[in-house]
Amino acid sequence: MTPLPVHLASFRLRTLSSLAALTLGWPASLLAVDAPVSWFKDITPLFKRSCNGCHNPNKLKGEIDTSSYVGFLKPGKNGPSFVPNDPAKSLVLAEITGKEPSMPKEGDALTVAETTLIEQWIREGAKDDTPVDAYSTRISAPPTYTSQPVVAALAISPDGRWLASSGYHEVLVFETEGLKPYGRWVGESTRIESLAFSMDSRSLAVAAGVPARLGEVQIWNVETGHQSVAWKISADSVYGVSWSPSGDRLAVAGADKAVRVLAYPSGKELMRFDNHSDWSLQTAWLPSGTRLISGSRDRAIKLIDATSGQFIDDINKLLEPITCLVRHPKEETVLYGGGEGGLRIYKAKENQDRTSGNNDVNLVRDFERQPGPVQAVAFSPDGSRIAAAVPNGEVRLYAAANGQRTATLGGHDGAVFSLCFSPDGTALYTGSFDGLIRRFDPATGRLTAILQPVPISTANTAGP
Amino acid sequence: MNKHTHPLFVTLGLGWMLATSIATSAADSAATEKATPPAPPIPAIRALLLQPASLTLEDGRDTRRVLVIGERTDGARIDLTGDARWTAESGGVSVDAEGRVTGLKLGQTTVTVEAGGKKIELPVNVVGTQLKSVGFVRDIEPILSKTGCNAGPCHGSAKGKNGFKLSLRGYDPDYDYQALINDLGGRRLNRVRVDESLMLQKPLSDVPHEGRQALRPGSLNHQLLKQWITEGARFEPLSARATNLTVLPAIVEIDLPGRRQQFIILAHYSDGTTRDVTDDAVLSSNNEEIALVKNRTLTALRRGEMAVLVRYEGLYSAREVAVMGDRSGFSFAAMPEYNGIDGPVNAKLKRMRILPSDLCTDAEFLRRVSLDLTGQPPDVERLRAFLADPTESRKKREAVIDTLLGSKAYGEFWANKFADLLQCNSENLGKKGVWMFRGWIEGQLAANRPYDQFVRDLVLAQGSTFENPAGNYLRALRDPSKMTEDISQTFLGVRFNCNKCHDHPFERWTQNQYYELGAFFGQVAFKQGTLGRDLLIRGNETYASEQVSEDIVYRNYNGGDVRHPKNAAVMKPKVPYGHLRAQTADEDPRKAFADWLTSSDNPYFARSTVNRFWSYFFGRGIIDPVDDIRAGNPPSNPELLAWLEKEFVAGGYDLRQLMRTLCNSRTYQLSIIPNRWNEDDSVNFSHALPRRLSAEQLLDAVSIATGHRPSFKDMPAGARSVTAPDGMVGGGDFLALFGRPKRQSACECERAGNVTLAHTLNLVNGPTLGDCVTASGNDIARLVKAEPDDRKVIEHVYMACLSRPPTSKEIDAIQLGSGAERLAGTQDLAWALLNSPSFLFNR
Repeated sequence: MTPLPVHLASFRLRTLSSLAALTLGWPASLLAVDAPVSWFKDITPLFKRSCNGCHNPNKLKGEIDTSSYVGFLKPGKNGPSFVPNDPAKSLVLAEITGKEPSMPKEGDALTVAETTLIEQWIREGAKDDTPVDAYSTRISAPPTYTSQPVVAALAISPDGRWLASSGYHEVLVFETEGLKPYGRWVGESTRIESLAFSMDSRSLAVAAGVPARLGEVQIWNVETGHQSVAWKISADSVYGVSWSPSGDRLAVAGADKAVRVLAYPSGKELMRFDNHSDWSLQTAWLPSGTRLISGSRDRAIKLIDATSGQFIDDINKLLEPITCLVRHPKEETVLYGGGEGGLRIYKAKENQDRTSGNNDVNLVRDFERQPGPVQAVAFSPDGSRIAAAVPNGEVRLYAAANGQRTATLGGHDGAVFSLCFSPDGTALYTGSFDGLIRRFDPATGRLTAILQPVPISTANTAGP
Repeated sequence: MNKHTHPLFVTLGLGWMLATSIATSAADSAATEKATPPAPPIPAIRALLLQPASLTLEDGRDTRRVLVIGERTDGARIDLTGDARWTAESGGVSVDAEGRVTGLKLGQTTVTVEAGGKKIELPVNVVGTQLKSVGFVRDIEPILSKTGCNAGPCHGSAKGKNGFKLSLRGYDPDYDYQALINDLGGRRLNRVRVDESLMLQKPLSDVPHEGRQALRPGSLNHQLLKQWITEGARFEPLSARATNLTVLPAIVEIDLPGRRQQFIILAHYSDGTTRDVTDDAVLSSNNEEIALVKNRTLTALRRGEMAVLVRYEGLYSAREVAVMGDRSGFSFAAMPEYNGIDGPVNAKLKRMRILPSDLCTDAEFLRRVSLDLTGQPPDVERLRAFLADPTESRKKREAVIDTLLGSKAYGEFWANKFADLLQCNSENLGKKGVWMFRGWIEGQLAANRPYDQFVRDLVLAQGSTFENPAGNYLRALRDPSKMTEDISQTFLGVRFNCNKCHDHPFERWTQNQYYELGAFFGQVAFKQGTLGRDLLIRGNETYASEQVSEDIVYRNYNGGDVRHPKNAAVMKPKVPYGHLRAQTADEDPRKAFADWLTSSDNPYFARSTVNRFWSYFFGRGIIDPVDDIRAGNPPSNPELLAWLEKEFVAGGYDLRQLMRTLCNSRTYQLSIIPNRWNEDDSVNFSHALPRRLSAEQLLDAVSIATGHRPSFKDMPAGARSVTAPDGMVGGGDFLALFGRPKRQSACECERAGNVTLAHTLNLVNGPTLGDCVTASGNDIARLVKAEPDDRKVIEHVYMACLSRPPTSKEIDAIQLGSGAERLAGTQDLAWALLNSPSFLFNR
């Protein structure tokens, strides 16, 4: 064959390669004349890669949500993002096309092939073909396990009969007598963040979620093992839940920073408190039931009027993120563990007596500084002991009266994430990164039982 | 940077360094947008070399590269790695298009490398193929750094991002492990369904992630993270961290702009193993005018010198690069070598093919050396005498240097300089304090006290600041943090302020070292003494009392625990490098510190001092900025710096001798006028660099030129501006405008040396210069009255203002006017000359 002149050869090569790039970049649906562009299959992957970081229910930049069809349908700050059949009036295209498109702010611009695809989807009517269960994390049967899930939450019923533990996608319930399995309560959320039994021990409230996707409160009937309610309240995990003394309300804290009071069983939002500037992680009611406190990563423990949602005061000195807190079983004091190793007891009251010389008037006791963030704290039922979990795998017990350390509980393979005392004070349960629940005698510090909460299947069915 | 205004950022404009740390792809795309010259054609190659010459692969993920170097027919070498083609000669290894070699089967094999029309064999020995378990410190932290997760604008920021915080650039693996694994009850990992782990879903953008898709699905980094979680997300000991880096090639000289140069980065571990971390290390250019660096490849842009900065897991290295450019027609002629300075300068100029400028004139020299040693130009009388002196030029220059070094003006000028560095300001020391401290400093300089002794006095001072004014230094610094930062910056040229809050982002200094160093000063305490205070007439005025009373510097045996902010641990005094002698039980820890600081074994002490003084005489440090010595800021002439350092130590830390050596060098005496072969040089001292007169030099030079000295508040009449003890006593707006520092910082940068419109307008229109020129009875008025010859008046004014006689052309061009106008005309001439660059700069 006669060799082509050099310039022609390179011209051909360029043409071919650019054609190849175009065709390869186009999804099959565009090439097949009949198939319309699919929102779910073609558009959402592009949005996921380039848009959803800022335009999702937790961020809503420009009041736009590109992470679901329902969200995208809602008009943004400047109007509807798209008008079906009318690409010219669809704001989204103006944002992402042109020589230097204004979106996305970070990362590479969408290719011409990609913007053309979005334009065609709009021209074809911008239809929603999201499958019904597309974003659901529901599962039908209890999960199988090939490795232990971390034990992020533990609770014991006030009557002392039940021990509840977090699992993956489920709450695992045991009889404290003999630590026998009682129930596996499977819900929609993958992560269980905290657990709270009602005062009558008949209901279990669960703060849960799917990280960065869903925040949910579930309530289970302990006797029947049925889910009585499941309230989806936010787009990221709910971390704290506590029952009002009268049992007709729940206080909830979560990654959306809000503290809410919800009526039980209606689920009606009675109060919403938005004063925290970072995630709120735990709540506790004062005995009167008219006030509650909430702790947040913004370093504040806030005292709130439970009815009006009125902010009353920060009860503490703002030293470090509040990672965990628990109220004294009888008194109006609160124990918190902090992100920088602080472990302190505060009076849960107004901070109005503070002066320039003493701005920490509510401080009751400052325990020794812990070697890292405190992961969990607990009061013994009589309030005489406190327990704190620290990242080196230790649980430290202190006398509340004088702050002296009385015991150090070890043996955990990894950090301890959850703690609870039995109502009679004779047992302290710990839940750990290693997936095991351990029972200690708080008086002696002796390990009395180890419980593996989930069954591990040897067959490799769960997959990684 | 939105969190806190970073001192380094503000004072140095290090924005580019931070910018490189943002999302790498963003930085990359910015770099590619810059126009790069086309790659020059590959010249004829006579042989290929490989570096390293062979490979040993230790395990299944041990992927390594080699550099392919072409030897030109003239012996020069160029990098051909980017043009090479690679062929594995058996199934024992795989090699990708970019030359990454991975072992598949145990045993010896070869890879054939072709480039520049030549071939060479690369022997490869595969000694392991198993996939090692993934470790957090060794494998995962580098991913967090390379993908930018822990960068300053992202999760490495002081507040983290969206509730997830990592240590800045991964300096604290323990913290990062806690954040990934333990934070929020293990939120970020899912041991049951590994793919549902938030730490994977976020960077993959499976769930919304504002920091874009940082992890490519299916990439090696994705697989490593996943395997790590699957294996139990374990932390291995910190000793698994790399201990040092090797950068290949060792010497980089690039012939032409447009040429590419690849690098290989090897990390060494304490168990003796090495790893090719070229893909995970962060490489950047310290001068993007000269060369761009993207990933592992440098592209030369134009002739000049730069350094490639390499960062990997808390380790820092730099590789200096010379881009020669087209120098055809160049022939080197060394300058005569007056002393040990000129040899290394000549050698560097020869290597870079730079021709030094000629010798400066006697008049230029006298003005330059007078300004540099005494802070003021010569007066007309001295200038005339020097020019008329028939002695051989080099000899009479030597003589004048000696005269100036012993003069009172020398002590005044350098006392002012040290008073800047030692933060002699009345806000800290009171009005009486600054007079006493400045007086003490001047006394030390007048006596030529050895510099190490001088520094020891400052660091070890105790007792009354009246009886021992050296105590004012620690008194000005006040707390252990500022002592740590300012003592290291002033006497070692090392910046420790970054590592107060996190490990130093551009150097090996750690946060622990900051507080260990601070612990030496934990017991330094201050209290007000009775001297001075009792003499106050208005006894109850605290402010007045602070202004005139003494302070006592003492050791508080009961106080001064310096605690680490992370865990409140009490820090033991420890030096960041070198050897600290044993201390006796009851000894003040400052003593051992001072021994270490001023020891001849302390490489930074002498080096930073000679470098700093060099910059005062040459307008630029051999390392520059002078108070930021670190791997990423290499010296432009290491041999020169080493020689100066050795001389300084051997000569007993004699500052006057150091300055004598600098001024007597041929290099110092080079003209400011460049030639064709050095006009683009600004770092190798091939010609003098113009330096704007400092505020005080400027005012004193105006005073000498006009014979009129402005008077200062609280100062005796006729006092030089450099004798003012601080800005609150004496001075005025003029000195502040021209950059006299407030003396609140150890940074040389506190003194401004720039020229702005405000400066120009002030000289043209401002009262200071105008008043001096027109003051009745000043030198100009006396001259006009006494000297009838216009030519002599013009000559005198030129010599007074510019320290040189006018040319005959200049004399002919100037008409002073007659009668009453003659004075105004002469004043106009002086005003015009004082507004010329020849006056404003030390040239």
